Amino acid sequence: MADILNIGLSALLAQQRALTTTANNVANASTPGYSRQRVELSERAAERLGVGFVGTGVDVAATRRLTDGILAEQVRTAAGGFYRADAFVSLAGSLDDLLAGTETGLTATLQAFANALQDVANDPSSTSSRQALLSEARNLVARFEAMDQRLAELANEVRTRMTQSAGRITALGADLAEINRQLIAAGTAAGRPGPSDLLDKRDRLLEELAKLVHVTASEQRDGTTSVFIGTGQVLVIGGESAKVEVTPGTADPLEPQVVIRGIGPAVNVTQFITGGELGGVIDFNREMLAPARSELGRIAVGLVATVNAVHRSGMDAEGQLGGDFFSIGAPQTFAAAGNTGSGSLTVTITGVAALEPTSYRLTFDGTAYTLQRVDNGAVVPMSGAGTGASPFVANGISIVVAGTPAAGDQFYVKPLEHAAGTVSLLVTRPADVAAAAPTRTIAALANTGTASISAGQVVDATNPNLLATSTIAFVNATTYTINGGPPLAYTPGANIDVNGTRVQITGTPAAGDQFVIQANTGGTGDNRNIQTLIDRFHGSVFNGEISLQDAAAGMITSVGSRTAEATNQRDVQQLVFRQNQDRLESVRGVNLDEEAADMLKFEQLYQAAARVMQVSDSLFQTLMNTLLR
Amino acid sequence: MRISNDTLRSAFLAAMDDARRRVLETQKQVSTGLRINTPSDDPVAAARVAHLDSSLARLDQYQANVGFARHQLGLEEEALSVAVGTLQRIRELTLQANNSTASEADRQLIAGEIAEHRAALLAIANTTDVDGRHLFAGYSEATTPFTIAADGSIVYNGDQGQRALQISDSRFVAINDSGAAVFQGIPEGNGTFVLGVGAANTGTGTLGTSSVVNPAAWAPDTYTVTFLTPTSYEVRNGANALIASGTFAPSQSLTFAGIEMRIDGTPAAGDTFTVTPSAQRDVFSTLDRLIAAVESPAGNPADRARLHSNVGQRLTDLDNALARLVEARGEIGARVRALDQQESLNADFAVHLSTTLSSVRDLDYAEALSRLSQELFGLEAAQQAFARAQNLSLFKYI
Repeated sequence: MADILNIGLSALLAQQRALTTTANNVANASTPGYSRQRVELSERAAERLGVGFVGTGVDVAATRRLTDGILAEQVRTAAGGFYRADAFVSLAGSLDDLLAGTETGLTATLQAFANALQDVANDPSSTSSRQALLSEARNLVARFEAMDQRLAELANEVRTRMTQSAGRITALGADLAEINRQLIAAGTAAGRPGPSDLLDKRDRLLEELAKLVHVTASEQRDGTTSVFIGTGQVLVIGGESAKVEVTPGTADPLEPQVVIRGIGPAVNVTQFITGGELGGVIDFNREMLAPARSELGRIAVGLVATVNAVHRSGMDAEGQLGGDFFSIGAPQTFAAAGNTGSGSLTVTITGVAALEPTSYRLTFDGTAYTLQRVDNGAVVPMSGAGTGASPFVANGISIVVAGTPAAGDQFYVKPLEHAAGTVSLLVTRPADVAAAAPTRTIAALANTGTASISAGQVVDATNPNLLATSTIAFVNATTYTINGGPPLAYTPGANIDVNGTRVQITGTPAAGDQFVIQANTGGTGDNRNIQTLIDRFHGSVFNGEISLQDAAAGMITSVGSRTAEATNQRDVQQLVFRQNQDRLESVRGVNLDEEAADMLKFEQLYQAAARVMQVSDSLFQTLMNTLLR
Repeated sequence: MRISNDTLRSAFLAAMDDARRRVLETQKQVSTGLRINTPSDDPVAAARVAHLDSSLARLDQYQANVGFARHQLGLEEEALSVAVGTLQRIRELTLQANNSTASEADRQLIAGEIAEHRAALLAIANTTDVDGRHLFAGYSEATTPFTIAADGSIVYNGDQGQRALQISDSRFVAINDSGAAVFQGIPEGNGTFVLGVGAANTGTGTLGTSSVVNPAAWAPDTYTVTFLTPTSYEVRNGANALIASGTFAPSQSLTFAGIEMRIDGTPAAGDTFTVTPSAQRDVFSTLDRLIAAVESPAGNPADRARLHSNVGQRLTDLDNALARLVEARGEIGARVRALDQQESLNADFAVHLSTTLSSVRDLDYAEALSRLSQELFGLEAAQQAFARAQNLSLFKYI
């Protein structure tokens, strides 16, 4: 009878424990990271009686925490992928928005500038059309400035987000180390799980960490968890955690870098960071922001070089040769912070057409220099020796090395990234717009032949005799002299270059016919130079027949397609993340219906156990009554 | 698979989020009327939109250029038509003066009127537009192209520049002609040679028609025809070498050095006539010489013969100037036709581009609105499903 009572009691206690666990499951149904628990029952050892074995009741073997380490790891990996893509998309969206809006976009502003040039070409002596051109030029400068400003703000956002992520990673690392210490204190070991709440908290922290950066966790023999981020950088070992910080780059001070500071010195791990928000932000910076800034800079440099070259070959309304129309800052270059030599670079842009939208890294190995593109790491062959007389030339830039670099020294060359913000307008007076060509041609009125001369085109504005009057005189129909020089054979339509002006003569000249090239004094109605400018503006500026407008439209396509691609990737990653989460939740999440059924079951069992105890009592009473009668 | 309550809720929330995001995107499209709101909506089409927008803006500019060119050419056309009218009036006056019935006084009056017309022509050649820019100065718009020198002759101060405006990607049209091209460099006589009559001639021989009969035999030089007697002549060149000689009967054509010239009337012994290679002349000096010829005395038959000869030659010069002006007007007409043609080409192209732009960028409202209602329906359904599912709980029944 005591057995029955004991068995009933054990059942009562076991069901009570099960009900408590169910209640806890219901209570934590919506607690993030909670793993449902289940009471595991086991039979008590049977008692040997003469007839065989008789059970002695039930024991609560353990309260098990239901989760799956492999699924949790998969969820973390998927979270790293999704949050990387999500951070990338949110930044890419900002860049995408910047290029949206056709009325305010770069292509529209470039076209407005071209149209203002046309208005000056229509009516070059009109001050108002020149004024309008200058105001469109100012708009264009402002557009470049605004876009560069917005890109710089994005770069700041990148830095801020990186710093915030790094701070949170450090904090999460410290928390995980603290949990490890508590687990050690609780005396856990592999196979002997510690308190559920601590383990749930650890899993939640790991999930949080996975949102920030790709994370790998491995459980150690002592029950603690070692945590690695990126491609295997140690964040937590036992009770110790490293600090993750964002500092200005040692090589390129304008680019932020991620350093990890454990017990030893800080190590730059930027290139090893993958996944999570931090990985997404770093990828965005490298894959989209830097190329976009370089491309914008390239368009600015192309515009300035194109306009200036033509404008310098022209003549303004006051008969002066044109100067530069725009100005633009020089390329940036940095010597890496760890350099041991005294080398420094001077970089100039010498060939706009060959420019590529990227920055470069120049490395000295003690004997030779290697130039690498930063965007794709490709090695760019250079000509020249790096000296003032023979600079290194590659992709339209020329590099002169001064001082004595040591082996292993690195230099960064940023020819374009910050160029767009440095454009300014140099011409401020309408009269200074060089719409006219500096020289013009005249066919002598007394000419009796049928030959005519072209209007002339200035090919070398720096010729000291550009404005001197020159005479092309025909000795006979096939021979001419220039300024009384040696006789030259006449080919109709061939280029004749005289003191920097190129003309063509066509038709049949007669002996004694003369053509004069003279300064275009007073030629305020001439639009040849501005027309040349329009042609160049619409023409190919970069290699591969790319005009300024093409480049601006190309930027829209590349940013747009990169953003669209990233958005698709994000959607896919989100799906993967959700599926993994669902799988994990199916193991550890609480289903209230299930709990309700369990509750009913445990309640019934409790009632049954109580009934067993009652029966035991009644058996005892029966016995007592019999004996005491 | 077990479904936890959290999974159920987050799955519903995710579905509703997706539905709401689609609704929002479609609403944005409907409110802007654009299919592409940011480049990532359709990267290739976005770049095309930028290109098409630029092309349309460029076409607009070309149309504006056409308008400007038409205005400028209109001004020039007007000036030239007045100039042609003036020269035609001068021509009529000259014919009157050349008439034998015209008295000395008549001719003086006519000469005076021609001089007035010459002044008017000078004003036309110096025409300015509303901004005070000279039409016929070439590039030097600010310079008065034709001014009167100390000796009364007209000097050209402009240049030979011609401004071209762009009216399509590849087409340019000139919008001015320099004074040099319109009023200067006009050949005398028939373009090869011009005839003269000796100032001391005493006969009544007058210059008739003349022409080049054999261009290969023509050697530019000054030839002098001297009548040894009224019926015989000799021709000597600039080096005084004898070129030809022969007998002469009135109205006979003399042929030498590849040319033919007729002399009417009766020359006297010792009378001379000259053949000079044509020079280039401006219209004002032609008029000066015309006035001088008209004003010359015609008191006796010899003087009258000289007057007829000279006026006849100057009339040819005048006709050359007139032809030049008419030609310039014709050229303007051709340019205006080119403008008209290009304008309509540009307009057609602009319509084409706008249609393309619209098909690339603009929203198909019917499609978008039906999509929107479908999406809204989807969102509503998701919400209702969520509410229904949330309502299901075993706890309700125990």
